[in-house]
Amino acid sequence: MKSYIETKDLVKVFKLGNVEVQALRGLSIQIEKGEMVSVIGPSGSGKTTLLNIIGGLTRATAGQTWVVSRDITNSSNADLGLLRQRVVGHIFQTLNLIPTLTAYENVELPMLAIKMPAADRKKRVTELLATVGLTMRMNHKPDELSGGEKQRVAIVSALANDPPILICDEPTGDLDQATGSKIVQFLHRVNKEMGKTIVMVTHDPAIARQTDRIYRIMDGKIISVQKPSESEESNAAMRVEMYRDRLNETESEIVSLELSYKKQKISAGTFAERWNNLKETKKFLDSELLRMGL
Amino acid sequence: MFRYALKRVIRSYRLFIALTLGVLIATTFFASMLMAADIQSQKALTQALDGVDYDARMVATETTWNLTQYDEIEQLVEDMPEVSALDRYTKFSFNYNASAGQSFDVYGLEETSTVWNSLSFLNGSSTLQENETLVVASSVNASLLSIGQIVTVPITYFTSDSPFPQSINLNLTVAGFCDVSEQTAQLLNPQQTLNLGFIEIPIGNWREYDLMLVDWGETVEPILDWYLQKENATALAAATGYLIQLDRDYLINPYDIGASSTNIQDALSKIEDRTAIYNAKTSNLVGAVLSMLSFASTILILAYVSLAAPVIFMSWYSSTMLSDVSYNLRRREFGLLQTKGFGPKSIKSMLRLEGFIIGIIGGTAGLFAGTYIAHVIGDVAIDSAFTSILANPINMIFTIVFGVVLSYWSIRGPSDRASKLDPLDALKQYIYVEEQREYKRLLPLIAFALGSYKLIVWILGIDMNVLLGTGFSSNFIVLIAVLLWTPVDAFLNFAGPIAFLYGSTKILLRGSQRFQIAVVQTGKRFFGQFGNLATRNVKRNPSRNAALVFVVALIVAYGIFSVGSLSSEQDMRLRTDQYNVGSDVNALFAPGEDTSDYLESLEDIEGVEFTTTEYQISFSTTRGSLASRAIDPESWLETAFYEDIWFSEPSIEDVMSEFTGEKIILPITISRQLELGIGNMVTLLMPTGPSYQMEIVSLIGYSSPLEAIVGQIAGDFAFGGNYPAYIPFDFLNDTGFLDYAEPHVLMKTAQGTNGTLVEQEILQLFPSAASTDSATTRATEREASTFEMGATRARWLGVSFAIVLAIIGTGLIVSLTLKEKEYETALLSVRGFTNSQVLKVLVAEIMVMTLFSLVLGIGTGFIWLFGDTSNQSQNAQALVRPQMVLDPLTIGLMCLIVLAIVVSAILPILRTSRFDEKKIHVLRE
Repeated sequence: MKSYIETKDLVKVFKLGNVEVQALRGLSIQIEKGEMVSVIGPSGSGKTTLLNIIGGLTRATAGQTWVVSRDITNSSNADLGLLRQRVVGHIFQTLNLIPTLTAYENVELPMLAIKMPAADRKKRVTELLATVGLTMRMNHKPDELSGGEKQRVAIVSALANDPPILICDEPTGDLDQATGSKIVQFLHRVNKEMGKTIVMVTHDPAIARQTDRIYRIMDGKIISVQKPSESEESNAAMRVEMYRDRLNETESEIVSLELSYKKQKISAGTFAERWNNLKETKKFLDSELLRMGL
Repeated sequence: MFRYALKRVIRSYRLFIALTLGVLIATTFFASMLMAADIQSQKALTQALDGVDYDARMVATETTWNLTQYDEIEQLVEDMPEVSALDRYTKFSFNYNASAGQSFDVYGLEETSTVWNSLSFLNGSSTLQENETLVVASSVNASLLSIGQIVTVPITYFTSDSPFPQSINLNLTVAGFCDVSEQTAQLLNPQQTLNLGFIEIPIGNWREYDLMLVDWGETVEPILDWYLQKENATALAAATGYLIQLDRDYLINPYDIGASSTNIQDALSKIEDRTAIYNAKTSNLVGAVLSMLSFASTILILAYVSLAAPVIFMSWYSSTMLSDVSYNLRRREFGLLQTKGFGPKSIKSMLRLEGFIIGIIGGTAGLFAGTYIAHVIGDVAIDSAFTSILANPINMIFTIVFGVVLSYWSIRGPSDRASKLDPLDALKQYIYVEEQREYKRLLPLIAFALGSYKLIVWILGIDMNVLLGTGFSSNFIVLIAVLLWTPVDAFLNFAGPIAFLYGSTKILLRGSQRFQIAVVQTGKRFFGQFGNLATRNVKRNPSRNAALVFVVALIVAYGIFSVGSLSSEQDMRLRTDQYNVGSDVNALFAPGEDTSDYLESLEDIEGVEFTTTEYQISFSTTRGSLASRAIDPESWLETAFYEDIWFSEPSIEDVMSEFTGEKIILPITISRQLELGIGNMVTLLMPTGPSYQMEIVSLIGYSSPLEAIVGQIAGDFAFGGNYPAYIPFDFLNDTGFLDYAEPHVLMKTAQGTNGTLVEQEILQLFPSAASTDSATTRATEREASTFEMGATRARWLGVSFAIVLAIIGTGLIVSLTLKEKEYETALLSVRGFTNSQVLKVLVAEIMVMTLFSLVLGIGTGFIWLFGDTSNQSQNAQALVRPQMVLDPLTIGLMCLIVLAIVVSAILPILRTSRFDEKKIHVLRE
C-alpha cells in the first residue's frame, strides 16, 4: 500500500548549457493524507524540483512518484494537466496572479478549466474570498492589493477546484513576519478544517516547526526527517543516525567521484561542481554531528 | 556606458535580433529602392552614352583656323587631363543647284577619327584619295550624284584687297556612297535652334541633310595650307572645329548623374577658357542626355521611395512596438541598474546607445541585403555588391543614417519611460503596466480626413490642379486658401494613401473589441468561457492590442495594395500595347494602297485569326482637328482592340450594327465642348470640299464619376482627354478621302502567337508595307528598356517586402506579445488549463484580433488600391486607363499574403500554448 504522496529514489537531471546538474539524487519521501509537511534545505538543494515533480509540473529522470496513491511516474502531459486541474493546487512565493484579472477572476480562473457552471463558480469564488476575508477586495486587481492579500487570493485560487493537495513553494518568502504568520495560520486552517494535504517549502525554521514533519534536503537527498511533535531526544537520535548514514555515503561518493575524474570519465566542470557540493554536505554533516557532541 | 550597451546587445542577441529585424526590413527596402533606382539610372546612362561618340564640339567663331592654329589648339587641349581625344573637322557648304535649292555640306573628317570609323560603306571606295568624296546615301539629294561624277565646290575666301570675297574651285570626285547612323547624322547636321534667351526653339529638321565627306588630311589640309600661305587672305568660308572626347572615367560617376553633368560642364568651361584666344566656342553634346537622365533618375528615385514609404512606416511602427515589449521584459534590469547608481539620464543614454548600435547594424546589414534584393528581385544588374555600394557613398551613408534614425526614433519613447521608472516598482516583481491610453484620437482623425479627401478626389476624378488653378482668378480669400492648400494637396499625392491607412486603421481599431466579443460570442461553443477570459485581456490592454491590430492591418493593406497595383500596371501595359497597335499585330501601308486583297493572304499566316483595315485620317470640327478612324464595323469588332467602357450607351455592338453613312462616334470632350449629345449632328470639316453633318451615334472617352454627376446636374462637363473619332468606312470611301488615309491592317491572333514572327512574315509577303507593329514586339522592347521597367520592378520589390513583412513582421510582433504574456500562460497551465484550453484563450485573444486586422487591412488595402487606380486613371489622357485586376494570379498572391500572416501569427501561439517544465521558471523569477 503506497502512501498518499510518495516518491522513491527520485533522480532529476537538468542540463544547464553543457553542464548536467543533478538536482535530485535518489530522493524518497512519504507523506500521508491530511499531513502538513515542510521541506527545508539550502538553495539549490532540490526542494523546488521535488515540489514540481509532486505537483505534476515536471517529470523525474528516474525513480517513481505516487500522488493520491496513484503512480504518476509515466503520466502523459494531458494526465499531468488533469492532476494540476483537480488534484494539486500550487502556491508560489510571488507571481501567483494574472495582473489583468481581478481577485475574483483570478480565483475563478481554475474553475474555467474544469468548465464549472457559472452559477456554481460565482458561489464558490464568493465563498472562498469570504474565507480569506477579501469579499470587499474581490474586484481589485493584483496591483491594488497588498502582499498578504495577494497571497491569500493565491491560496484560494489554488483551492478553487477543491484539490486534495496544496503545494506551497515558500509562500511567505516575500512577506513580512506578521503577514507571513497569518498566511501560515490560514494554511493550517486549510489543512485542519478542509482536510487538505500540504507540502510546503520554507526557509523559516519557525514556520517549519509548525508542520507535522520537516524534511531536510541537502544536495538532492533527504538528510533528516523530524517530527516537531515528538520529544527532542528521539528526534536527535534519529537525526544522528541519518547524519551518520549520509556522512558515510557522502565520503564514499567523494572517493568515487575523484576516481571517476582521474579516469577522465567526467569533465573538470562537472567534477568541480559535484565535488564542491559533496564537500559542503560533508562539512555541514560534520558540523552538525560536532554540535551534537559526537 | 558604451561597453555595457554593447555587451547587452551581444549577450541578449535574441531580443536584439528581433529589434534589429524591424530596422533591417526598413533599411533593406529603402536601400534596395535607392540601389535599384541608382543602378538602373547608371545602366541607362551607360546605355545612353554608349551611343554618343563625342562629348563636345569646339568651333571657331568669326574666324577660320589655319593649320598652325589647329596644331596649337590640339596641343593645348590634349594636355588637359579631362580630354581623351580630339578629332579635327572642317565644313564647306555649296549650292549644287541654286535655282532648285539643292545644296551640300562637304565635311572634312580625319580618317582615324571615331566618326569616320562609324561610317557604313555602301558601294565604291572606302578609302579616299585627295579630292575624292563619299556621298552620304541618306542625303535628300543623294540621287543627284553618282560614282565617278566630278562635283565642283566653290570655296569662298576673303582678302584685305578688293574684291574682298573671292573663290577657288575644288573639284571633288564621287568615290562612293556611305551611310551614317542617326547619331552621326545629328552630329554632322545638328538641330538648329533659335535662342530667345530664356528658351531655345528648334528650327528645321535635322533629318533633312545633304552630306559629302572628304578625307581631312588629303583634301582639307592642302586648302588650309594654301590659305595659310595666301598673303592677303583674311578669312575662309569654312567652319573649322574639333570634335572632342572627354575622359568619361574621370568625369562621369554613373551613380551620380547630377554631379557628372556638372563635371562635364566644368571641363568644357576650362577648355573654352584655354582656347578663348582662338575664338573657340565649345558646346556640350552630352548635356541634354545627362539632364534628361538626371530628371528621369530623380523621378525614379521619388517613385521608388514613395513606394517604400509605407514599408518604412510599418517597420518603424513595428520597431516601436517591439521596443515597447522589450522595455517591459527588461523592467527588472532597469531597477537593478538604478540600485547600482545609474540615474535616469544614464539609463536613457544607455538605451539610446543600444538603439544607435542596432541602427548601425541594421543599416549596414540592410544596405547589403537591399543591394542583393534589388539584384535578385528587381533584376538590377550588379557586378559586385561592394562595388555598387562603394561607388555611391552618399547612398551608403544615407541608408546607414536612415537605419540609425529609425532605430533611435523607435527606442525614444520606451527609453523615456524606462528612465522614469520607479526603482522599487521595477525591483519588486513582475508588475504589469496596464496602459489606459488607448490611442491618440486627434492625429488619426486628421490623417483619416486628409487621406480620405485625397482618395475621394482620385475616385471622383477631380483634377485638383485645374480646380485649384481656377481659385487664382477668384477673390483674395479664396486665393490665400488655394495658396495654402496647394502644397498640402501636392504632399497628399504621395502621403494621402498612408494617411488614410493610418487614420482608418486607428479609428476602426475602436471596433476591434466589439469584433472580438462578437467572434467569441459567435464561436461560444468552441471558445466557451476561455473566450470571455480573452475578452477581458483584450479590454484591459487596449493599447497593445490596438498596436497589434494596427501593424498587422497595415501589413495586410500594403500587401493587397502592392499586389493589386502590380497587376494593374502589368495589365495596363498589355492593354496600352494592344491599343497602340490597334490589335495584336498591325501593318501600315502607303496612303491610298488598296489592302482589301491583302486580308485573305494575311489571314493565312499562322496564328492570325481575324483581320480588318482601319483607315486613319485627320478631319476637324469647329473645335479643331479631329483624329478619325474609318472602320468596317463588322470586321473591326472582331479584330480591333477596344473596351466597352470607352463608349457611352448604347452598347458598341448595337452602334456598330447600323454604323454606316454619315455617322460618327465622337470624343466625349468635343461633344461637351460643343454641347452635343447622342442623336445630335456635328459638323465635320474636310480638308477640301464641303463639310458634312454627321449623326452622333455614340460618345467615346473617359468620364470620371464627378464628370458624370456634374454632367447630370449642370450639363456637360469635361476635364479633358485625347480620343479619336470613329466613322464608317463607306463614308470615307464615298467622300473620296480613302486615298488620303493611312491604311492600318489590324490582325487578331490566337493566344500565344508570337506577333514579331507574324510581322516578319508580313514583310516577306508584302515588301510594300511601310511598317509593322505588334504587342509582342512592344513588350520585348519594353523589357529591354531600363527606365520603362523600373516602376514594375519597384512594384515587384514592394510585393516581396509585403510578403517578408507579413511573415517576419507578424511573426515577430505576435511572438513578442506572447513573450510578454509568458508568465500568464505559464500560470494558466499551472492552474490546470490544458494545452488546448490555453490555445483557445490565445486564439480568442490574438487570432481574433489578427482576424480583425485582416478584415480591416483587406478593406483598407482595396480602398487604397481603388483610390490609387482612380488617381492614375484621372491623370491619364488616353482611352486605356488603369483598372483593378483581380485575376487568379493576383487573388492567389493576395491570399498568399493573408495566409502568411495567419501562419506567422498561429505558429507562435501554438508554441506558447504547449506547456513544458522550462516555462515554470518564469513564475519564480
